[in-house]
Amino acid sequence: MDILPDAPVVIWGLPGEGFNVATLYNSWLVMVMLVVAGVVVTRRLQRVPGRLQMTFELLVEFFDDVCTASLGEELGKKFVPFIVTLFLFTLLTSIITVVPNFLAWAGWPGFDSPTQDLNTTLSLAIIVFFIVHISAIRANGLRGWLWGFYEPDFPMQHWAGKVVGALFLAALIWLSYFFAAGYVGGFAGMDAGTRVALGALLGLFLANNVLLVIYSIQLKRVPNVPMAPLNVVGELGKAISHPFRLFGNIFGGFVIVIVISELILYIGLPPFLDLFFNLFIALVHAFVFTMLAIAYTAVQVHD
Amino acid sequence: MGAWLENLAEIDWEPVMTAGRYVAGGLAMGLGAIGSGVGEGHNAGEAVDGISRQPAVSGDLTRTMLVGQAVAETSGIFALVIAFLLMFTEPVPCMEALGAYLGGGLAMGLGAIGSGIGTGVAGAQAAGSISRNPRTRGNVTITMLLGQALATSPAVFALLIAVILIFAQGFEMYTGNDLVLAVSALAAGLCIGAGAIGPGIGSGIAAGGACDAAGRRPEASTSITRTMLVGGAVSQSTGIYAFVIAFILIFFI
Amino acid sequence: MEETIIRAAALLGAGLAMGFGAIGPGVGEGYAAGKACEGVAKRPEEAPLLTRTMLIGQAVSESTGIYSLVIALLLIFLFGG
Repeated sequence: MDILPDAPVVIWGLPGEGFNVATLYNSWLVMVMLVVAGVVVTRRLQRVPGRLQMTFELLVEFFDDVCTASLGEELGKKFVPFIVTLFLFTLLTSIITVVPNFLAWAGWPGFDSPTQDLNTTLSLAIIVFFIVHISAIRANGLRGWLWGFYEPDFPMQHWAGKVVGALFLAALIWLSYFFAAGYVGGFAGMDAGTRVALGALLGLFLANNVLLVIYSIQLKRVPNVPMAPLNVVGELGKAISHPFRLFGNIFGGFVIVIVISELILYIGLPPFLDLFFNLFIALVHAFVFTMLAIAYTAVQVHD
Repeated sequence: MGAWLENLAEIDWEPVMTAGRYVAGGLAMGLGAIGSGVGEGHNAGEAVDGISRQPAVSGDLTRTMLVGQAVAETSGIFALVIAFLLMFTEPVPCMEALGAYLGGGLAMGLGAIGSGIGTGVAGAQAAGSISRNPRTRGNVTITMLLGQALATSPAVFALLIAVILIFAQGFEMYTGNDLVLAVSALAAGLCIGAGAIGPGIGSGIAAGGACDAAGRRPEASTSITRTMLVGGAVSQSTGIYAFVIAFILIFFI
Repeated sequence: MEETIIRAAALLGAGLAMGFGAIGPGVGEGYAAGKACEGVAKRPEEAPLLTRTMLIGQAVSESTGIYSLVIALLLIFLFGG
């Protein structure tokens, strides 16, 4: 049974390993379609919108509402063009696979979804990741953004908070030395490079603790230092789950349609399967991808 | 101690592999039927409950129940497909292929449980919601379908890993007798299989809450659907971590 | 020989850690999302606040899943690679 896609499955697609040609062609096709649509729709804007203008206005207005509601009036307005473009791009690149390859005679590699290639979703998610954190820095300042990684923290306005905070800090410094000794002892069997790297990391962690003690006395807040690595991993986890969610669903839908169609010898069901998985599920997940980009930004900006 | 490990290549893997394929097929379908069964039964139970409260809308409720059950059946059908593939494809017999096939069966079998229950819960809440407020049927059905589409995605991840494990020999993987590779294939299957249970149930609960809410306040259903999609998608993060770990276990070991 | 068994065990452990560790957070976060939907139905005008609170709560309940991820990655790359 032949279920392998025609284009080679190249994870990451490093230079020298070749490119997934279908991904490249179809991404450019979608980009050209979006640019052309942008020009055609906005060329003759009318007070009483026609059907085409109405459709696009509804779309933009919907995302305008969502952005301003969750990001605030000013930042939300800035986000609308990016968010609408992200939605249209993920949507079109996900559902393009329902088009049969009518250009095969011209050497077109087939309308495989670019989003069933991990590279596409990964690059989109990297863009979103940087936009989320840069807007968080611009909204809260570098200090506020960094402080977000030490939450939930302890306020020191009340005397109980001061006592708890002081005890907590003392325990923390003791614990970090304890762990540092344990780590270095525990990994004594490792090669020199790994030990140096671990040592440097632990040194940074300790220096960070000492600086934070001084800093938090000024700020009257005690940072929750053990949460910092977990918060960082949590942010990275978001950046991992964001692209894999879209990729897994689109690639999974593609595989399901082909496998089931092969098993039932292409009788009856395949068009409906294709519409359900490659149109409906793809629409849901393109929307989810876009909404998560807004939600991640909202959480970071409102810290 | 290690004598059997060195003699792995001399074992005749042909009969072991045949037996292993059938065991894997049985695991896929046997475990995979749990979720859909429980979910659809829950859905039907709520629909019957609703009809006893509002006999006048029994037609609407039955239709919604059938639509919901059809989607809840999806993960069971995935398990059926994988069981067929496991039984009727014949790989080069070796220890790694045995691990990959058992892993594929466990992936799909365990992975279908969560999505089956989750989609069923969404359908059940939708039926309850319609019986309380029959005029909101359109809104509730759309919310239910979107929620179920989201709740199916852990099963889609499990199916993807199962298919990769089954057809891995096409990529010239799993053709030898290395214990580490065999175990890593099995571990990849277990990882995504077990990891899909929680997210499937969780996003189903989210979808169910949204169906209930859309029935109570139909004019806010856009906002409710949005919250459901974001919340349900985030509740699948751990399932996606499991998917990533399974990928690493397959492609980077 | 023993090294082979240890590597295999580490990989199996990684799979088990992430697989079973994903169950709890999945159900828990879904519960939070369901409650948030009900909250939006009660007070639609507070939807952005509810969504944000839901996301923060989910991030906290996801932390055990993240521990699983970290343990699985450590098992794979420190002992299984």
